[in-house]
Order: sequence, then structure tokens, then C-alpha cells
Amino acid sequence: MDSDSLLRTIRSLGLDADFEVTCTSAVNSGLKIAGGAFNIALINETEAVGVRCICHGRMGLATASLGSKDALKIAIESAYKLAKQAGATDSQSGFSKMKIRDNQRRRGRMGQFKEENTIKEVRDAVQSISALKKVYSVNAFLDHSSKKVSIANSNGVVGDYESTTANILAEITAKYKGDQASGIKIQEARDYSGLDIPSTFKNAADTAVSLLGSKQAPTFRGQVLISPEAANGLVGDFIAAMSGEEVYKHRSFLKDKLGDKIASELLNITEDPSLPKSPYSRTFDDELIPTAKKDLVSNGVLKTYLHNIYSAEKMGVRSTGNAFRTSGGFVGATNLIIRRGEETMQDLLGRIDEGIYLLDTEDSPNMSTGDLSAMVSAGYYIKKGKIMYPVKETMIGINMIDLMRNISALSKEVFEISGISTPAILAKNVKISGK
Amino acid sequence: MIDEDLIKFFASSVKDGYYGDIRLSEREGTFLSVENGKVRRTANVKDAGFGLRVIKNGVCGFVSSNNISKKAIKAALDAAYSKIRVDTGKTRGTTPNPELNNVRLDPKWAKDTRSVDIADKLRLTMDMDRAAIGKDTVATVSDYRDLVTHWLIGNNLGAVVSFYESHPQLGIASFVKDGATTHSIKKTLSGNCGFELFDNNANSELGRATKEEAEKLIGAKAARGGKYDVVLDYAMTGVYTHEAFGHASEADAILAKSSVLENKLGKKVGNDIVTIVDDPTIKLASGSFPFDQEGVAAKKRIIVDRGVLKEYLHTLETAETLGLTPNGAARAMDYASIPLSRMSNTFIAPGDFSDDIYEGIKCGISLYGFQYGYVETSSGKFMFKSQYGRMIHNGKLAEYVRDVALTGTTLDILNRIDAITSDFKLDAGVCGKEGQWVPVTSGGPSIRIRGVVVGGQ
Repeated sequence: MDSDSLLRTIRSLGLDADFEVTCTSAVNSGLKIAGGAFNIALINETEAVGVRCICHGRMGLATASLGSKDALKIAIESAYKLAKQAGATDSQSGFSKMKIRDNQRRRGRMGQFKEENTIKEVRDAVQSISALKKVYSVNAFLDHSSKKVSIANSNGVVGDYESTTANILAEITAKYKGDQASGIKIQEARDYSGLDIPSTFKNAADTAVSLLGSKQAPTFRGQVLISPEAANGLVGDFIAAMSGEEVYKHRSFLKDKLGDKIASELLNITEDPSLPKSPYSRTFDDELIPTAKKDLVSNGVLKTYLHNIYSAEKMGVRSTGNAFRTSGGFVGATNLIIRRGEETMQDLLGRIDEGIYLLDTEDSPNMSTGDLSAMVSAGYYIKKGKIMYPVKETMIGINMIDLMRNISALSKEVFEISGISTPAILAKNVKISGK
Repeated sequence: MIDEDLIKFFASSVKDGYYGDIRLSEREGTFLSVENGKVRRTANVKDAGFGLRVIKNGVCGFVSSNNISKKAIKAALDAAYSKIRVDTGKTRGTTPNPELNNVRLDPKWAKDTRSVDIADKLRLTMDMDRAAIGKDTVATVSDYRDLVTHWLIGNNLGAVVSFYESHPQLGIASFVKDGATTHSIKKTLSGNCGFELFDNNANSELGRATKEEAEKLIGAKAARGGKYDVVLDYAMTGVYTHEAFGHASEADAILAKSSVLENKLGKKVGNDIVTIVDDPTIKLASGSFPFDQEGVAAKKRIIVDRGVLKEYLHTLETAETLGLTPNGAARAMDYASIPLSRMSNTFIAPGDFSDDIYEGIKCGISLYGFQYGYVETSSGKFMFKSQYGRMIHNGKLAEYVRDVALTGTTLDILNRIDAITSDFKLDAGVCGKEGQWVPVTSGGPSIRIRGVVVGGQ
């Protein structure tokens, strides 16, 4: 259902309220390799409708995923009834009235690139990696998603876009003399043709083997080199703290920091929703507000918070076009670029007197205090610029603002996923806890 | 909209030589959010759909759709066959051997959340939010949610099970100001039951307890990292059991050769005092269910019995491939998700330690309430984080510390437990695996662990 027909439906019902309707059609197909064997092939197809209704200053939301033509009408009536009976009083006053520049299509080449070719590449990679010395187990997920999103509101603003993404994740377990370690690598592209499957498997296997024989690091205060992959997740957390609503409601460690120097001068973060190669690029956000390129952190200074219509109204500013509906009406960023440095990873390792090279962690900071206690899921102990051994039962601890202020260098190499491009980060004065 | 006729149609359409099963569901729910005394969000959700599988020689084709019709089921079956015909190299070569249950269970909770007026749900949430506000409170977030699911599961060998799940939940976060810092405490109350869960002012009690714990953190500093003896409360014991051990016992990780518990059945993996149980039959608990997502009846599983690994958590596929007995541990987030080996209500069984658990600890930390945790099953490295802690100096509880995290490895950690108390409590939460989130509980008594790495600043 496109945005024009959504608009016609809203208007035909003639209800005394304002509506914003989003219709998402998605097809996801994937493949799972478990223990070196082909295990599962899957296809998921869904169509879901999300409706927001403002009636006399109260907002009600409804979603329906029923696979029938009635779903839209059911959701509109449900949101209307909810808004009237128990609608949210703490909500935005209305929907976007801004004209959308143009609709955007970011399609991959699923139709032109045969899935069988990619599966053959995966099969060949599994076979060759399984034969490597010390490799014990090969697990992998191959995934392709395409979606079409249409949005319309009662003000007559409409927008449609399509996008595709493809992912390969390889998880290799290495085993040697009773010790076991794993390496995980993931790569994302707009379609299968953009994936480098052999190198993703090879990198995961090399990492797994390199992590065998891990030991606890000592407890000390030193430098941490955060790999581009690990930095990607931490930057995502940092951006979450820029949410206007979290700041307004005293739940962000970046509250009252607008215009302050919150990081080293080396840190520059830009949001660019128009990157031609990104599957996430879009000309409008999930509330039909136009997106725009902007600096979030410039030479270490926090330049803006990220707003949807709600937080912008609360803080007396204009929406920055950062609304994301997927997690219930919050904010996010579309394509982030952390400016890279001029030194290689090897140069940065050489600058470490004593520290940790953090390959991977799944931890996030406490969003209200900024405190970060992170397990070194994968990483190495570094002494005088050399990798000494892989580590286990070791944690790093620092406040996120201190981490950003203590950045002493950024790498030339970058990693891109989920629209975030990050270099490696070298930071000093981090607490490492081990034996 | 979903009915057994669709299962019969599916069963008769599966080709000879294949195992096939189908899961249909209809869901209906409400979400309310109150922040700082104001209604921030009210939402209704409704969905329905099916997911079907065909399996031959260890290869599974899975297709899901929210278009429920015989035509869509036939198209999905054809797509599933075509998916598993692709030349993919090595396969595992087994086909599931299901348990042929034929059972229909009606909803049986006392107060169906679908019949409770939205105004009552809102009042409940507002009262909890009010109870969580104190003089130092700068923000509150109070959530109410409910979700009722009707499951209809069947296969081409004749099994059909029909049952309902109802998951009402209250969640509250209270934020208090402490100079330039803000501390927060979060609590949740949920079950697989009806609206009666919130009888006897359970909502206001939850709000008040959250406020009081948050206020205790005023003045708390970040913990100092290092190695400590630690005491875990029931909530931390639960997440410790779940993360440090439970995930590694999920048999799909064994099949994928990515668990440190592979080939450890019958072997000693912890001290004699440690028994670990996963039990989906606990009445009203959030992680409970009558049948798993492959139609196998739920069963209590003793994973570790007095230090010895006794059982993995199985799907039909893992049990058949490993030559073991299915034990009803296949769970899926929704109709569009593939059943995986999962935990339900996981805990360490109570012990008999009755002395002062802090005695003899020169410098340690006692940890309370969990934030989150995770594990890498192939190496056994795990981490989990408490909401707060208290230092232990010379056997006595002392100052509060915030954001305390622990790390360790699966095959080492059960040997470090040297005291398990006799009290017992479960805490509700959700568990994520391969992008699927399912309700679980975890808990147990208080336990003492020697020489653990604690993260901090």
C-alpha cells in the first residue's frame, strides 16, 4: 500500500482527529550453517501497519500485522478509540507539515544477483575454513532483507522509500589442547554482491586461532586500543545519550553538555543521511521531517542533541529529523561518520606502553551515569607495543565522557555497519581489571 | 482466524518423506507508559500469522507469513521445499522424531487482561509511578504491558496442541539526583497469568521499593575494579546461573560445536553443593509454558545434579541428532521465528548454608539486582552486571557502590561457589538469542563465590 492510498484511507474515514500512518512490507530470507552443516533456510514475509492518532491533545498508538486489507482500518479505529479513552497527555501537539523533497529508493540488486551464487560462496568458504588447522567448528548466518515503507499524515504529507540490506556473519571456534576460543566477524552491504564472504570467514578464523591460550591480564591503569568493530557499538551508545528526550528527562549523561567540550579535539562525528552507498540513507525521518547533514561533535564539542517532534517541542527547538519509529517512537541517527585518523592500527599498537587491544565487547554504558564496565570478550594484553597474549576474565572500566576526553589517536582503518563508520580509538588512563 | 482446519490442510499437504510442522498464532496486547506522572504512551497491538517447517535429512526450510489462508500455506510449503533443494554441501542427515500430543487447553487465568478496562490499567500504572517518586527523584518511567497469545501447533504425523499464554508486566525505573550524577534502579513484576498478578497493591509496593533502593545509592561511587570474593542476591544468582551456565547447556550450541559443555554429560562441572534446574512447569512463572513450540510437553530439567552435568536443553532436532530424549525446550519468540533450544525458569537449588555468609570476607562485594548479562558459549566467557553493590569489609556490609559487573568462564565458575543459602526467589526478565526475545525467570538463593574479577574504575 503506497502513501497516497494511506492518505485516501485516513481522509475517507472522516474521524475528528489527526493521524499518521506507516505501512511496512518486508521480506527477509536467510541461511544458517551450524557446526559446519547446512541447517536452516528461511523466508519471512510480513506487512505491518502502525498508526498514531492525536485527538483533543491526546495520542493513541496502534499496530496491526494481520495480513488482511482490514488491518489498516482496524489499526486506525483502535488508535482513535485509545486516544479518546486513555490517550497520552505527554505527547507532541501535531504531525509534520513539512514538504518532502523527494521519495527515495535504495534498492539492492537482489533480482539481478542470484542467491544460489552467494550460497555457493558460503558453502566453499565453510569447506575451506573447516579444513584449517585448529578450526573446530564453523557457524554462519547469511541474511537478505528488503522493505518498503510508506508514510502519510492528516496534513497531506506523504513519503515512500524502499531499501535492502545483506549480511554475512561467520562465527568460527578454534580448539587446541583442550583450549577453545571463537572469532566472530560480520559484514553488511546493500545486497549479496557487496559481501566479501571468503575474507569474512578467513578473518573470523584468524581471530579465533589468535585467541587460543588466553590468560587474565593484570590489574592496572593503562591504554586501550578499541578496534573499529568494538568502537562501532560504543559510538552507538554515545549517540543514544544525545537523544533529546533522554536529555530533557534527566536520563542521559550528556544532559547540560550542549556546547561543552565532551571529548578530545580529535573526535568529530557527522551525520550524513544522504550517503549514496548506504542502505540506510533517507530524505525524511519516520515522522516525515526532512533529514539533513550535520555535525554532532566537532573538535570534541557537542554541537546538537537529536530530536524528534516531541523532544523538539519540549526543548523549544526544531526537530532535527531524527525520529525512528522502530523502537516505539524514539530517536536515532541515519549514517554516522567518525572522522578517521592518519595512523594505521599497527602504528597505534606501537604507541601502547602497557594496555589492552579490545577486539570485541557487547557491553553498554549506564546511560544516566555514563559508567562503562565492559568485559573484554576478545582482546589482547599489550606491552611495549607488542601483543603479549589473548586475555580472558578481564574488564575495562571508565566513564564514557572520560573515555572520549582521553582519546589520543584514531586509526586510518574504519569499519562500517548499521550506517555507522568508525575508526579504531586509542584512549589512555583506562582501568583494566584482571588478576 | 486460526483454526485446526488449517493444520489438517497443512498435514495433508506435506510430501512423503518429509517431517513438517506448523505454528499459528494470534496475539493481542496493550502497552502503557507513564513518565514523571504523565501518560507518555498508550498503544494496542494485534498480530496473527503462521510459520511452517519441512525437514529432511537434517535440513530445514522455514517460511512464515501473516497472510493466513490455505493458499498462503501451500505457497509457503512450496517455497520451503525449494529452499532446501539448494545445493549447500554437508548436511546433518537426521529427521525429528516428535512426541504426538493431542491436547487443547483453554485460557485459565482468573482475570483476562483483554477484558480489563484500559482506565484500570492506566490507574495501576499511575499509582505505581506515584509511589516511586521521592524528594530526590528527578525522573520515573513506569510501564504496563500485557500480551495474550493463542498458539496452535501441529505436524504431519497427527499431533495438535492448542494453548494460551498471557504475560502481564509492570516495569518501573526511578532516577535520583546525586550532585552531577543520576542513579537509577529498575524493577519488574511479570508472570504467565492474568491481571490478578497485580492484586494486593503489588504495583504500589513495586514503585515504593524501587524508590527506596534508588535513594540508597545517593553518595555511591563507582566500584574499584579488581579480584574479590562476592556474595550474590537471588536476582544475581539467577542471572549468573542463566548466563554462566544455562546458555552453554542449550543443545543447539552443542550441535553447532560451540559450547564448552560439549562431551561433558555425566562429568563433574562444579562443586557438590551446586544443583541447577530449568523448570517450565512452575505455576504462573513468566518463563513457564504447557507445551514447547514443537508440541512437546514441558518438563522439569535437572541440568546439574550435585556438581555433575546431567542434561542439555533440547529441540526435537538436537535430541534426535545426539541420540537423547526430547525435553520440551524448543521456544520461539513468535510465529515468524524458528524454535531454538532455550531456557525457561532457571535457578540454583537452595542449599543449607545458615551461617553469616559475609563472615571471613576481608574485602569483598555483595551484589544486588541485575541489569543484563551475556555469554560466549564457545569459550565460556561471560559477563553480568548488577544494579548496585555494597562493599564488604572484614565480614561486614559497608558502603554502596554502583554498576558492579562480574566476569568469568563457565567451566571455572561453579567450582568457586562455596556457600548456598536456603532461601529462594525468582526474578522475571527476558532472554535474547539469535534476535529472538522470550520471557524467562531466573533466581535461587544467595551464593558466595571466591576470587571473581569485578569491573570498575
